[in-house]
Amino acid sequence: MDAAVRTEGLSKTYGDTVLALDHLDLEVGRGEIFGFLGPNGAGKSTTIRLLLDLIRPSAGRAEILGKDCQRDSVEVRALTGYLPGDVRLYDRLSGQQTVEFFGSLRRRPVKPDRVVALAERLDLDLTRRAGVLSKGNRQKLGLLVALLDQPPVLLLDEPTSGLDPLLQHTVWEVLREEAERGATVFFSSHVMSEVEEICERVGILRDGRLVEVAPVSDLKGRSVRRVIARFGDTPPGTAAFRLPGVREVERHDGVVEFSVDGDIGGLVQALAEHGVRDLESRAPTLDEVMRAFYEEEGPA
Amino acid sequence: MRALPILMQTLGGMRTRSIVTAIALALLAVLASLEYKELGDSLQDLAGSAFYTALGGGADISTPEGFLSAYYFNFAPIIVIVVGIFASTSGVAGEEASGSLDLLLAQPMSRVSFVAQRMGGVAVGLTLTLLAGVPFLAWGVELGDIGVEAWRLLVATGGSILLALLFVGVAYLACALLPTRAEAGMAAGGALLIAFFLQTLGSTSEAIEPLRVISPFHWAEGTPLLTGDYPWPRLGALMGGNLLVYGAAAWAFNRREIAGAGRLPLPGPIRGLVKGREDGAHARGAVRLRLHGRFGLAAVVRRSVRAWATPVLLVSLAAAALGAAVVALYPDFRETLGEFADSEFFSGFAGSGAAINTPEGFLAVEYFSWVPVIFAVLAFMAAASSVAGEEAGGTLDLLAAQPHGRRRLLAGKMLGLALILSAGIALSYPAIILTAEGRGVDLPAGGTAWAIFGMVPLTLLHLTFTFLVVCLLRDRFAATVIAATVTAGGYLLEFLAGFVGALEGVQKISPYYWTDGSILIVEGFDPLRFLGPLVIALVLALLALEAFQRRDLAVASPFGLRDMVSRSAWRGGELQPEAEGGSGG
Repeated sequence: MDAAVRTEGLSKTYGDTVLALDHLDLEVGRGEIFGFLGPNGAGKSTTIRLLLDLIRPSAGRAEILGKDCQRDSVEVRALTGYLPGDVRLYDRLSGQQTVEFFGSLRRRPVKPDRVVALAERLDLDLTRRAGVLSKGNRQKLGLLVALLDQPPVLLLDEPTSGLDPLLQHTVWEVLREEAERGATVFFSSHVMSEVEEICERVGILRDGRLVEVAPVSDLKGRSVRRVIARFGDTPPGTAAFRLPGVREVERHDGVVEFSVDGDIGGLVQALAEHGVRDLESRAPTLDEVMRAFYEEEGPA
Repeated sequence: MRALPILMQTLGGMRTRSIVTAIALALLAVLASLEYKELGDSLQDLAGSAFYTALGGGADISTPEGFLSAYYFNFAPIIVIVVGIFASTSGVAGEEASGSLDLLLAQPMSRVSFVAQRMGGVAVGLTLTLLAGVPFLAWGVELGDIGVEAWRLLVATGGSILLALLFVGVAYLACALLPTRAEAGMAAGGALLIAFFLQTLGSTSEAIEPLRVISPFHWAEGTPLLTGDYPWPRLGALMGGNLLVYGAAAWAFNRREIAGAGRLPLPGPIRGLVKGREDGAHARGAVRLRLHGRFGLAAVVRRSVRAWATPVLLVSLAAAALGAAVVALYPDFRETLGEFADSEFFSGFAGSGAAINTPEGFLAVEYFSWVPVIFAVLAFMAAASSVAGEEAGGTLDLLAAQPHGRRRLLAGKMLGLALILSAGIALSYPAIILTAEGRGVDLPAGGTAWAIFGMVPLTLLHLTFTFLVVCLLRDRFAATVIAATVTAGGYLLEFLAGFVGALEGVQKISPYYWTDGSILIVEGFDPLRFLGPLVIALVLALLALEAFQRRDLAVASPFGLRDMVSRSAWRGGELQPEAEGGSGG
C-alpha cells in the first residue's frame, strides 16, 4: 500500500505507570477515509497528537507521506490539517481574524473565496468573535481552519462532535469531496454510525492497543448475525437448537432470538423442522460489532 | 449537605492568595515601622506638606499615626483590594468565560444566594488577611518605638477592611454589568486608581479638593482611627456604601444573562451599537479575507503584540504618568528634600546613585524603585500566559500543529512580547523629559534615557526566565510562583542591601543591582550593566527554546520534566503495560 500515514511500534507512556499507546502498527493509504475507533481513553487523540509531534513517542516511529513525524515535523504539519477533539480558539478574534491568522501560518496558498464558500456551506458566521460562538460553531470554525489550504492529509479528532444531524451530513460530504480530490482523511470517532457512513476501513483501539484493522464491510460480514424466529405455538426447548456457532440470546412470547457466528443454514433447517412461522435475519450494525469486540476482549 | 458550600469553596480558593498577601502585609508593617525609626526627626521637615499630610490620613507625616497611615494604612488596603479584584473577577466573570458558572447556576440555588456566598467568601478571606497583618504591625510598632496602642491598630485595620470590601463590591458590580473578566477588572482597577489619586492629589490642588469626598479613601483615613477621634458617621457612611454596592451587585447579577452578552438589558439604540461592535462591522456574507500573502512567524509576533497591547499600554501610560508627576512635583519638594540628602534610608532606597534632593535622586526613589518591578511582573504574567495559559486554554495545540518549528513559534512569541514591553518602557522617556523641560528641572537627557532603557534588559531577563520556567514545569501556577518569588526576592535583596551591610556583596546576584536606574541616570551607559543582563536574557531564551522543543504539549501529566530529561532514551525502548488507560482519548 502507498501509505499516507504509517506507524511502527508507536508507543506513548506517561511516567512509569500510564501506558497511553502500546506498539501501534498501522498503515493508511493515500486518498483513504480511515476511521479510528475506540472508547474514551483508548488512545485515539494520543495517536493523532503523536503524528503531529505535539507529544513525543516513548518508542516506535510514525510518518506521514514518507516524512518522519518527529524528524521532519514541520514538513509533516505543512502536509496536514488538524482538528482537535476539544476545539479552543482565541476568544477575542472573530472567525475572519481566526482564519486570517491561521491562514498566514500555513505554507500552502489559501484561497479566500473557497474558505468563504465553505463557511457559508457550514452556515458559519465569520464576523462573530470565537468567544461568543456555540460549541457547534466553534467546531465548524475549527474544521474550516483544518481545511484552510486543502492539505493532503487531514487529522480530525471527532470532527462532527457537537454538530446537528444536518450539519453532520454536510461535514461528511465535505470529507468525501476531500477524499475525491486525493486527500487522506484520518479521523477518530466513537460514533459508529458516522464511521459506517463514510469510512472505507477502520482501526479499533482499546486501552492503547490496536485490536483490529479491517474494511467496514469485512468487519460486519464476518461478525455474528442476529436471527429472530417467530413460532405459532410454544417454541421448542433450547436443546433443539444446540448447533455449532448458534447461541440463543432471548426468548419471549413465542419469539426466539439467536446470534449465529458463520453460516445460518443449519439453524434455518432446524427451525423449519420445528414449525417456525416467520424468520428475520440481519447483519449487525457496526455498533453491535464494536460491542461484540469489547465483550469478547473483556476487561484489560 | 455542607452549609454555605459556595462560600467555603471561595474561601478555600483564596487560601494561597491570602497567605502570600498576609506575608506581604507583614513585611510592609515591619518595614514601615523600621523606616519611621530610621527617618526620626528629619520627618519634621515634611510636617507642613499638604501632599504628605494627605498621605498621612490628615495628620502630619512626622507623627507616628501620620507615618503609619501613609506607609501602611494607605498601601495595605490597596494590596488587598488588588487581590480581591482578582479573586472576585475570577469567581464570576472568569468562571463565566470558562463555562463552569453555567454548571454552578444550574444547581438548586438562587442566583442571589450564589453571588452573596461568592462575595462573602472573598470578604471573609480578605478580612482574615488584613487581620493577619495586625500582630506584625504591633511587633513593628514595638521595634520602631512607635507609641501606638495595639487595639488602635486593630480599629484602624477595621477601617482598611471596610475600604477593601467596598472595592471588592465594586468589582462584583463590574462583573455583573460588563461582559468580560478583563473589562470588569479594568473598571474596578480604574475606580481604585481614581479614588486613590483623588484623595492624595486632591490635597495639592484646589480644583480637585472638593472631589475628595467621593473617594472612599477619604472616608477610611487611618489617622483618625489611630488617634481615637474618628468621626463615627464616616464609618457608618463607609458601611452604608458597602451595603449599597453589594446590594447593587447582587441585584444586577440576578437580572443579567449568563454567558451571553453578559450585561443588563440595555436600551434599544445602545444595544444596537453594542451588538454591532460584538458582531463585527461587516454584514454577514460580506467577509473579505486578507490572505494575499503568507506572513509566517510575523503573524505570531503580531498576535503576541496584540494580545498584550492593552495591559502593557495601560501599565506603560501609568508608569509614564508617574514619571511625569514625579518630575513635575520635584521643584515643590526641592527644599524639603535637602533635609534628607544624607539619609541612609533614601540612599538605600535609591541605590548608590545621586542624593534624593537632586532630580536624579528623587526620580530614582520615586520612579526607578517601583517601575522596574512592575514591568518585571507584567513580563512574567505575559510569558506564563503565552505558554501555560495558551496550553491550558487549548490554543497552543492548534498553533503548534501549524507548519513551523516549535523553536520558531516560541521565538515569535518572545519577540512579540519583548517588542511590546520595550515599546511600553520607552513611553516613559518623552513623558519625563518633556515634563522636565516644562518645569525647568535639570535632568540629563542621556542618563535618563539609559536609566529608562536599562529597564529593558531587566524586563527581558524576567520574561525569558519565566518562559524557561514555564517550559520546564508546564504548570502556570507553579511557574508564576517561581517567577514571582525570583522577582520579589531579587527586588528585596537589592532593597535590603541598602540597609543591611551583610547583604552588600550578595546583592550582586540580584538583576536589580545591575540595572539600577539611580546609577545609570548618573553614570550613563555602562556596557556591563546594560549588556550583561541582555546576554543572560538571551541565554535563558535559548534554554527556553530548547526546553519547549523537547517537551510534550498540553498533556495532564506530572512527569513532564523527568520525561524531558530522559527523552534521549525513547527510541527503540521496549514497554510493557503497567496500568490501565491512558491520558489521551
